[in-house]
Amino acid sequence: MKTMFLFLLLTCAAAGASAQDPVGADGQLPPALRNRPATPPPAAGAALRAQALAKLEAQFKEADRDHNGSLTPEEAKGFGFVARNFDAIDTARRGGVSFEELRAYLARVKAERR
Amino acid sequence: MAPVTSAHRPHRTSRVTTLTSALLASLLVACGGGGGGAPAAAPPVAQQPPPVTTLPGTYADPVVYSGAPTAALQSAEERAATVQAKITLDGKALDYTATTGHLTATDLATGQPAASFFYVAYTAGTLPAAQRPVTFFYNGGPGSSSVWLHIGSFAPRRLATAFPATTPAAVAGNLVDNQETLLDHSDLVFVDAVGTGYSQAIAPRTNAQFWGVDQDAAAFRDFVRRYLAVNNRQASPLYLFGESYGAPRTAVLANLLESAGVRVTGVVLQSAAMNYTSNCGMFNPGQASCEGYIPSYAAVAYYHQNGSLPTDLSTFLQKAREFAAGPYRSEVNAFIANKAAPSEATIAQLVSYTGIAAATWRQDYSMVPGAYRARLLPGQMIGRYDARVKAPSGSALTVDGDPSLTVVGPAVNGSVKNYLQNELRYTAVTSYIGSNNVLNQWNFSHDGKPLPDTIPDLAAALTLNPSMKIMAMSGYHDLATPFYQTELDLARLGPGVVQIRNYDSGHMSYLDDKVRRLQKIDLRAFYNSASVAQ
Repeated sequence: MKTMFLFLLLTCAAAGASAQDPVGADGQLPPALRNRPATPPPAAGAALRAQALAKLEAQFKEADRDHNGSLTPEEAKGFGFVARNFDAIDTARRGGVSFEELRAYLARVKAERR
Repeated sequence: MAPVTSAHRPHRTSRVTTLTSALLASLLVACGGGGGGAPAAAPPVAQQPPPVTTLPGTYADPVVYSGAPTAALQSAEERAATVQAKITLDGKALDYTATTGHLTATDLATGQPAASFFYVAYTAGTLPAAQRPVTFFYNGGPGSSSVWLHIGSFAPRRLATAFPATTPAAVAGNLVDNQETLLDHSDLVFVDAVGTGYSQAIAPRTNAQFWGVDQDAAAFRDFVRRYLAVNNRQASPLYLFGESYGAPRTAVLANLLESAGVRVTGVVLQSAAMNYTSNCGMFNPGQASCEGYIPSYAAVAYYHQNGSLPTDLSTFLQKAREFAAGPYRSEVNAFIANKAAPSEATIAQLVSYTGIAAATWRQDYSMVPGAYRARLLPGQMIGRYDARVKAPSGSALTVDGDPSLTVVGPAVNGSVKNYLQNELRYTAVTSYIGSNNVLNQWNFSHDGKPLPDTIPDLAAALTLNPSMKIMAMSGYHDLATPFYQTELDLARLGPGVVQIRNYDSGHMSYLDDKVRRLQKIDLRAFYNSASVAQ
C-alpha cells in the first residue's frame, strides 16, 4: 500500500510539473489578470457607506421594473428585504416605497439599536 | 433508530480495495489543488456501478456528473441519502442525521431551475428551528469543492492527520469522531460550488455560466433559500462559513441574501481574501505593495529560526504591524514606481525580521510570497498554505509548488468518496470533483472593477442588518491570505465591527489539532455572542 501511494504521488508529480508556475507567481489569478489594474485606494468610512448604499440602490432599481422610482408589493418580491418589511418602510401608506423611504427606514432601525 | 456502527466502521478488507481505486481517481484531481496550473477536469469516467445495498436510507445516484465548462444536467431530482449516526463527544453520545444529496437552486428572478447543488447536511437535537442555528460551509478556489472544510474542520467526523508534521503520512480514510465538531451548537451544511463535488448546472444553463463572482454567489443564495424552505428552517439563525475565496463569496452572498429578505445572523471568514487588489501575492512581482505580508514574513522566519513563534507573540506582531504600516509603507510606493532605493534603516529591519540578506531586500523591496518561500531557507521550499511545512527543493513534496498542500491534499481528497459511500450511504457513478481548474474561465469582475473588492458587499449587508456578526479567522503561517492584510481589509468597516482571531497555524488552520480546539472555543463564543457592530 505504501509503495502504491508513493507511485501515485510520483504520477501526480509528473502530471503537475509541466504546469508549474515560476517562483513568485502564486497562480490564484489567470495570467491575464496578474498585471495589477490601476485601482483607487479602497473606500472606508463615509465613502464606504456611500458605496454600500449605491449597491443597494442598484439592486432597488433592478427590482423597480416600471422605473417609476417606487416598488409596489409585487415589485418588492425582487428585493425581498423590502417585501419583508414593506409596511414598516411604507410609512406614508401609499402602497409603494421609494429608495429614500428605504434609507429612512434603515436609519431608524439603526438608531433604535443604539 | 439504532446507531449505525456498521456504516461507521466497515470491514477492513473491503475498505482497502475500494480505497486504492478511489485514491487513484481523487489523487489525480488533487494534483491541481489550490488553483495551480492543473488541466481542466477530465470528462467523467463511468465506473462500475456501486454494489446494490439494502441498508436503509441509501441512495445510489445514477446521474453522471461532469465539471466540464459546457456540461449541464438535462433535469435534476432532489434526492438524498439519509442516515442516523452517532459520535462520542466528551464521553457522551451525540446522535445526528446526515443527509447527502442534491437540492435544486432556482433562479430568483426567473423561477427556472439553475443548478443542482450537492450537499451534506448534519442535523441534531430536538430544539425548535428558531433556537437551532444552521451554518453553511464552503471552500473557495475558485474551483475548490468544500472537501477541506467537510473532511478537515468541524463536521462530526474528520480525517485524523499529524499536520503540519510530514510524518506519519496522512492516510486517506482515517476518519475519527470529531471532538471539535460544531454540531453540538449548530446544524452544519457542507455545499459544493457548481462544477465541483457533484454540483452541476441544469440545462439550458451550463457550469461555466456560474463561474464568476456574481453568478456564483447568486446560485449559492438560491441554494440556501431552497435548503431553508425544504427543511422549514427560515426561522433558524443563519450562519455562513467561507474559506479563502469562500470569504469574498460570503460577503457577496450575505448581501444577496439580506436583499432577498433572508436574515444572516453571522458570517465566519476563514483565511479571507476580501479584496483581491490588496494582496500582492495575486500579481506578478513588483506591482503591488507587500505590506500585508510583512508581519507573516516576520512570524514565519522567527518560527524557522527558533522552532516556534515567540513567547511574547502579541508584542512581536504589534511591532511588525507598526513597522509594516510605518517605515515600510512610506517607502514601498516609490520603490514600485521607480525603484527608488529604500532607506538602509528600513532594509536593516527587514533583514532583522527575516534573516534574508540586505542585498536581496534592496533589489526586491516588495517581495512577493512566492519569492520569500523560495529564499527563506536555502535549499528548501516552505509551504504557501502553511509555511511551517518545508521540504528539500526538488523533492516529491515540492512538485505542486506547495509542500503543505501536497502533504495532506491526497489524503483529504482520497477520503471523501468512500466516506460518502460507506458512512453516509450516498453512492455516485462518477468521481467526486475535489478541485476543478476553472481559474482561466472565472469572471472575476465585480462592481464594475476587473477584480473583486467585497468589503462594500459586507458594508451593504450590514446596512440592511446592523446586527450581523462577523468573525475573521486567519493563520500566522498562511502565505496565501496573510492575517495582517485581512485585518487591514476588514478595518475599513470601522472599529469593533469584526472580531479578529489569528492562530498559530496556516490557511486551513483547523487541520492542526491544537488550533482546531482553539477555533472551536472561539466559534462557540461567537455563536453565543451578540453583535459587536455599532
